[in-house]
Amino acid sequence: MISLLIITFVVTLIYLSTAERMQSFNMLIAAQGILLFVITYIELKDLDTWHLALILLETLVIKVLVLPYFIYRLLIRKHNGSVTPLVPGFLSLIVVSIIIFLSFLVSYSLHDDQIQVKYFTCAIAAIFTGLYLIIVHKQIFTHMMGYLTIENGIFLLSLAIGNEMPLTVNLAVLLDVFSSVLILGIFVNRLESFSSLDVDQLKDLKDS
Amino acid sequence: MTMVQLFFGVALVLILILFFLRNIAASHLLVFSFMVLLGLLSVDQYQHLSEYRMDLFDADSIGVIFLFLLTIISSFAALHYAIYAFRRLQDKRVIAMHNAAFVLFVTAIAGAFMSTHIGMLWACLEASTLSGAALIYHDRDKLALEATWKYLFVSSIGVTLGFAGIMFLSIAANNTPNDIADLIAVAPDMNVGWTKTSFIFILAGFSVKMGVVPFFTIDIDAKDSSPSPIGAMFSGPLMSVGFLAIYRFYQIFAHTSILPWMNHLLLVTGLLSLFFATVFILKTQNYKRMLAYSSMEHAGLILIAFSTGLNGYIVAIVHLVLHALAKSGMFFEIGQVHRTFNSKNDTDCGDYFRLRPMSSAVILTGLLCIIAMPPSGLFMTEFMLFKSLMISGQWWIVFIVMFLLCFFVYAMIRNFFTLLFLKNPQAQIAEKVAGWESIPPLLLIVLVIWFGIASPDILLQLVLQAVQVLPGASTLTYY
Repeated sequence: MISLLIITFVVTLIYLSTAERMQSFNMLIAAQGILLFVITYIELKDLDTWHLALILLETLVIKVLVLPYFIYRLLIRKHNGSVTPLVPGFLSLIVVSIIIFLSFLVSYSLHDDQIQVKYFTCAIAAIFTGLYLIIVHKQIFTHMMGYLTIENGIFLLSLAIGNEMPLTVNLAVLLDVFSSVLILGIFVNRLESFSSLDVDQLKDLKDS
Repeated sequence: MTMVQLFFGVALVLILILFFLRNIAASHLLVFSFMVLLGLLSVDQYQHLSEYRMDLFDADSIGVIFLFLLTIISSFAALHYAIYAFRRLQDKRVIAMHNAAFVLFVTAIAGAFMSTHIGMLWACLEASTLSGAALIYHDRDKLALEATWKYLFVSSIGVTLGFAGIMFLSIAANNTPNDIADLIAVAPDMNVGWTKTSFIFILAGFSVKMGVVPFFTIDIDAKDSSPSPIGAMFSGPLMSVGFLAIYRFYQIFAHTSILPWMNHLLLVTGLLSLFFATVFILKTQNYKRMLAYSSMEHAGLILIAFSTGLNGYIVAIVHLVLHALAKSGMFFEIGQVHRTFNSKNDTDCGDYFRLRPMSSAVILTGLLCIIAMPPSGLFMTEFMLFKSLMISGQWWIVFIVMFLLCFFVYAMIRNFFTLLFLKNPQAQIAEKVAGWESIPPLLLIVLVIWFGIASPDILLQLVLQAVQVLPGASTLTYY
């Protein structure tokens, strides 16, 4: 079951690399949220109630419901367009496949008892796919999607390690992640009032 | 209820009140009273230095030093912001937003200084990014928006990479609870590969806070586009937070076999930062950016000092403290220059000495301080830095650093002398700034000189205590 979910997660990464409509990005991130929710639920059933509730709140409520809705209201409804990457989708597909392949190679060559290889592979692949998305896209919207992908990767990484933090710390981390995305969204909205949502517009700050 | 709980409780309530309060005088007054509370917290933490009283938040010696530094600089920054907002007749909403974000920013930084758990440290760092973004966005214009977006985005990515570093540390530590003291205890058994990976992620990620290579550019833009009191906060307390975050991990990994490797990495990062800062400062015409690049140069020097091992630890921390004081003084002064000419570019400023002799004298003294001329305290620390580099046998680095510093001193003196002494027909006087406003920056700069002359025991004692946790430090003395 877990393997199936993990494979689906990796498939969303591949899909992200070729997606061109804003709405499909948003849906993919939400889908990743659902997958993370199911994975954590299966994995962490024997955790105490408070921790479990907090983690479920993070995945299901925030990642699946609040953020996608927020992004839809704020950005997509106004200009639901397509985003064009700098490199053709076909090439991105190859690059992301290579990233996933390398993640497999790295995590299977580690032989460390501490980590769960399945999650670790997936986490590393998600982090680097996120970074790749940020590099090949020029739109601010897609940069944000790349950031969210990295966040999901980090979430899986913490699952791979099974590290437990005190409740206060978890709560603080959760609050930070949530508000960072919220504030990013607000500023994307502001940026749009000045110019198009393209990073090429953001080059007024320079030395001379 | 302990002082720490009181501090966070009051801060939380205050942020909410400030956000909705539209009475400007009351708003500023509340910020000042919060500064008093911060001062009380620092004193409380200092008095109970050796006792362990609370989980998650309990400052050690280095935390106490930085708490006092935060108290001094943020009080001055609050004062200067009050003047700035009053003179520029700022919108009430903007002031309310700024003051609320400022209190949150200071609280987050204080939390980071006190945290004993690296998860909490991370959470505080991220909170300082978010509130910092609101501070940068103060002017609500296109440049501020650009700087805010870049800062928020790159800083979030950086801090997220730092979180990956924390995860790798957990693997290395076999899932020991992430309490710093516990981690130090298990450090000798850590896996070398994971500790190295972790430290690379931490150094790269938290470089956004310290303003060094690789993610330095957003830091420069942030200091340039925000009001100058915020530039001072970014150059002082925020840089200390970045340093502290890296230092906490250094503390842990210093007890593993990767210590020499870490020192090399810090040395390379420091040298690269120094190099890039030198290249960029030579071409900039904007005084705030010059100060920002100068901060980056000093951050590089701090890392170089730290990389020299035992001899450099004390030098690095004292240098950080003195630089923060001197640089914030300079930022406050440049804020006044900005108001006088309504510009921060050297093409629109000039003949400042004739206009405002008092302020110019402060700028001149501050300039001598930050380019490390005696009797500045920074001269002492840079001298000690070269000495410790020589003791560790790294002569060629001494030459590289001195070579780069020559360009740096040249660029700073050329540009600031142009501002002070050269007549510029394009310079238009926009506002007459009162002479007494230069007194607070002067106090900060005099403090730096006093440190240089008197080298007060209390600071050096605290620094010495702070580095005791590093291996081999028990043999250190500060003379």
